[in-house]
Amino acid sequence: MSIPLPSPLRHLGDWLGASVYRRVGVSLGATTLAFALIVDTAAYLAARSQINASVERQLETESRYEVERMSRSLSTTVDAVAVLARSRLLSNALVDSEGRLAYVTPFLRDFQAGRSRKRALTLVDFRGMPIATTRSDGSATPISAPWAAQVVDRGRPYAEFGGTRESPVLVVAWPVLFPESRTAEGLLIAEFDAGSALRDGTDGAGPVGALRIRATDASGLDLSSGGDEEPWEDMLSRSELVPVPDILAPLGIRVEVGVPRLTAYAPLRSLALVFLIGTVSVVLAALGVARLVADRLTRPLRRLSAEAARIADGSRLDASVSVEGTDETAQLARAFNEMLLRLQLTNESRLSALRDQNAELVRAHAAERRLEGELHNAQKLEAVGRLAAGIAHEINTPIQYIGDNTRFLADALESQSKMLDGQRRELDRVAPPETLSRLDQMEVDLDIPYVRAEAPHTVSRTLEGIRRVASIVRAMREFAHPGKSRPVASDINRSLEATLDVARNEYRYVADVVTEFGQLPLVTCRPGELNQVFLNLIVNAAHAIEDSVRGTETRGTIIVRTATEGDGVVVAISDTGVGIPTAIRDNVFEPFFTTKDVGRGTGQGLAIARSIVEAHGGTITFETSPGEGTTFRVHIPRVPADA
Amino acid sequence: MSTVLAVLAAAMTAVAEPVYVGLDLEFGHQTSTSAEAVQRGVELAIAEVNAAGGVLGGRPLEAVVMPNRAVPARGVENLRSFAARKDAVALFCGKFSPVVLEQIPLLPGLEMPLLDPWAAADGIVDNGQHPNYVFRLSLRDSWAMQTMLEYAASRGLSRVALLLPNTGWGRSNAAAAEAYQRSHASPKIVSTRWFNWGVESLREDYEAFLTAGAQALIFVTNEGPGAVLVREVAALPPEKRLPIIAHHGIAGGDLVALSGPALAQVDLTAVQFFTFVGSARPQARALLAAAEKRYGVQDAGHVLSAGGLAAAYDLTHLLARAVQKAGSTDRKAVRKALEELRDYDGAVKKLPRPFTPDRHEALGPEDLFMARFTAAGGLVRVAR
Repeated sequence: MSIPLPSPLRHLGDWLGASVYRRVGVSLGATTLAFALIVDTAAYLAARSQINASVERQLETESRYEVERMSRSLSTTVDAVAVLARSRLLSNALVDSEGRLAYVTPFLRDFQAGRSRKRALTLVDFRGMPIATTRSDGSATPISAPWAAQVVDRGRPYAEFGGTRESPVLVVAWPVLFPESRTAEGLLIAEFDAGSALRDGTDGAGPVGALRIRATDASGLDLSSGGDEEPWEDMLSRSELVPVPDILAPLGIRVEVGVPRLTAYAPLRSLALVFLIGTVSVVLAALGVARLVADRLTRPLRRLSAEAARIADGSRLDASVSVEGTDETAQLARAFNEMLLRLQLTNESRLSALRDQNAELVRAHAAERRLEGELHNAQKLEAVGRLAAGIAHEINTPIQYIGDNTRFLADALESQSKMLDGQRRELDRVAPPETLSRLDQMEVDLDIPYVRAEAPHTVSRTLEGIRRVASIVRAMREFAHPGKSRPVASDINRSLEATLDVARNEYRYVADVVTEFGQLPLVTCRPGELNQVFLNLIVNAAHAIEDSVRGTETRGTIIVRTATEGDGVVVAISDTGVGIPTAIRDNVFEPFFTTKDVGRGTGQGLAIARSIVEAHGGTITFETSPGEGTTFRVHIPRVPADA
Repeated sequence: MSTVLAVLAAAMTAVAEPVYVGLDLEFGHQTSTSAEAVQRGVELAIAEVNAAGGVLGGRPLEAVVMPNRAVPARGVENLRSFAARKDAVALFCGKFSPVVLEQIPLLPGLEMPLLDPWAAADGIVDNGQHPNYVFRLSLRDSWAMQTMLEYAASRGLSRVALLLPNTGWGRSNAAAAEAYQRSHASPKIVSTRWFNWGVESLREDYEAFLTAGAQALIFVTNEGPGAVLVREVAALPPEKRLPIIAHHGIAGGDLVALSGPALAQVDLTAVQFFTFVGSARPQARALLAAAEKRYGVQDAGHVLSAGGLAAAYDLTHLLARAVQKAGSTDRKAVRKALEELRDYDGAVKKLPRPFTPDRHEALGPEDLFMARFTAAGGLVRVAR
């Protein structure tokens, strides 16, 4: 299985394949380039590995510092909130609804959790209803988050990151215990800028140098980007979980320290530039050398190519190229000459074969055309045959009563003639002479003697004509045997007579038919099919005779003999035609084999005849003598083996 | 015969629709006994009312207890939920004025009469609402402050300090002290300091009072901070132990138990309006007897928060009469009926006209007196 190449590669392959010169040059250049690239890559990877190790050490140091710093900052912030929530001032505010705003709000505003920058501190009662807030507008909405109720009910603090992705907020909610009931009756909600809470309030300062630092929570939210705008995916980075107070543990705060790849690998880019210049120089030099080598290597080839082209232009296979020296090019030239010689011989041999094949094709073509015509005629013949059978059937009835009536007229004429003779004899005896004289004159006037002499002949010829018509009609009917596809007991002699009648038109102008019918038993057969056999043989005989008598004044003879032989009957049909040439005797029974002109034979006749005879369990053979004639012998068993 | 009638009445009330009385009390507050005292007073009165045939033709009174832990927000929630109940006629409050002060704005809207057997802030009754839904049978801060300062003066203590809770209650007392100061030259208030809820030490304030030359301390407090100060003062040398003149609220818990032996080491008196100890009123004796019988109270000297118990008892009877007078559980009618009641002879005192449309204080300043704690936690009158 071959894998199709992309078009550019295929074009490159074609371009290289077109020239040894190109292949040598490109190979040498490519080898040099590959070697240079391998060297460059190895050096590049080594430098990169060193940079990675250096960056990793730096990140580890910085990460450790940041983890400790964030952990400390978060602990400070959370602790401060816890202390604030335990303040008696806040628990007092839970019961001092009248006066608390005067002191709680300033108290909350003064609160500072380490260096974390607070967004808001809000005190709500156990229902989440705001008591006091440090929000600048003083507004605070009721807290309905599920965690608020849980903080109050369980007395456990809660933390989450809120705000927006751009400005995340650390929310710490701490229960405010009412000391005299020892239950949480309020909630202190402290909100800090996440960045400042994580990084000790220095989120705006940004990292030192190329280092970038950020913190993320378990969901991947960037909590403190340190002012860095570069995508973190482009960083060489290190990530560590920040140890935090228990309340913050579920948040999964991690610190990530990174250096932009662009910065870390800046030295590599300089190195790559040096490598590039060096590689280009080496490759250019290699290409120059390659050009010289390729030119040297391909010069004899180009000469050989030119000579071969010259030979080709002259279209002469008997030419040869010059051979110089003993190197591979000379060997190639010798081989080329040898090849020319062999080509010359092979060419002649193939030309001869081609001529033979061409002639065969012409013959086959003519045969095909002939077969097409004959098939067409056969189809027409079949149609005409069916038409004739139909007509014969229609004619049969009127012919019968015409014959009967004519015979009646003959009998009547004969009786009248006898009556006239008796009347004449009586008149001659009793009638006066003048009467007899008038009668004689009347007979003369009416040409009665002639009428009486010719009338029987006329009736006889009429009857003969009618008999002939009836015979033809019967023959056509029997020949056609429509619908008789099952074997029936048949009279072969009668079948032959019918067939001869049908075929009469084929032989009547060139031959006479002699029948020598023996006494035959009835044969169980399909008479229609056997009629087809006999018709084919008779028509073939007529055609063979026609070929032999054409242009002469002579006629041929067709002899049809029948006889019993063994358990069957034999029908022999002989002609005095041209006979069958020895060369084609083995082919006469092949389908579509014929020597007749187009339109005269299909080549199917004898093939069909043998097929029918063999289907009846019989045999068909022939004897022929060129220029003298042919006899076909058909042997039919009385009862076929499969009857 | 009377026993038979009582049994029959009780049987009738048992099957009728109850009339509900709400008790929004400081249950859950760790040191208060006031809630329990008020509940007992109400229950004892309800038992008597129901035994006598209940109200409104045989309907029993039934108490619905709602703890508020002394937290105003919970008090507000309790008020709302109770007001939604069918046939709820009135709500009892407890000791803590801040809780009541936060409920008051809601009362007219809910048309809920609030019966106050303890909370003392002046603003509870002087709430500016007309009609006024608050009815108090207790002392009020202005009277208490006057009584305490007069008591100090009577003892020759001319320089007093004021220690107040940082709440509406504290501010109510501060206003009362200022008012008193404006009309009286002595005693002179030399220092005023405030403490927050849940305070764990008042040593610093006390030291400041000493520094200010205070001869006595007017201490507006409940039992918790009271016990804190008692223990701290008791720990001082005797010459540094100032007389402590405390507000009624200090009797809202078991100060004896909270203070321990320290209580005997300090000069502590508290302003009160009722005590079983030494009371000869038959109604008070009967109430004590009922409390002894029902709750196993040992004797008059063992009754904690006695004022709350007696006031709640009397207010419950007044409420029953008002409901009966109103003829329905319609709270507006009940409120109005409370203003029209006459001739009630209660455990605290005889009240010919307990309340009027213009007076919703059942007691007067003349009903106040100073008392000391007995060793069992009861109170015994010491002056006026």
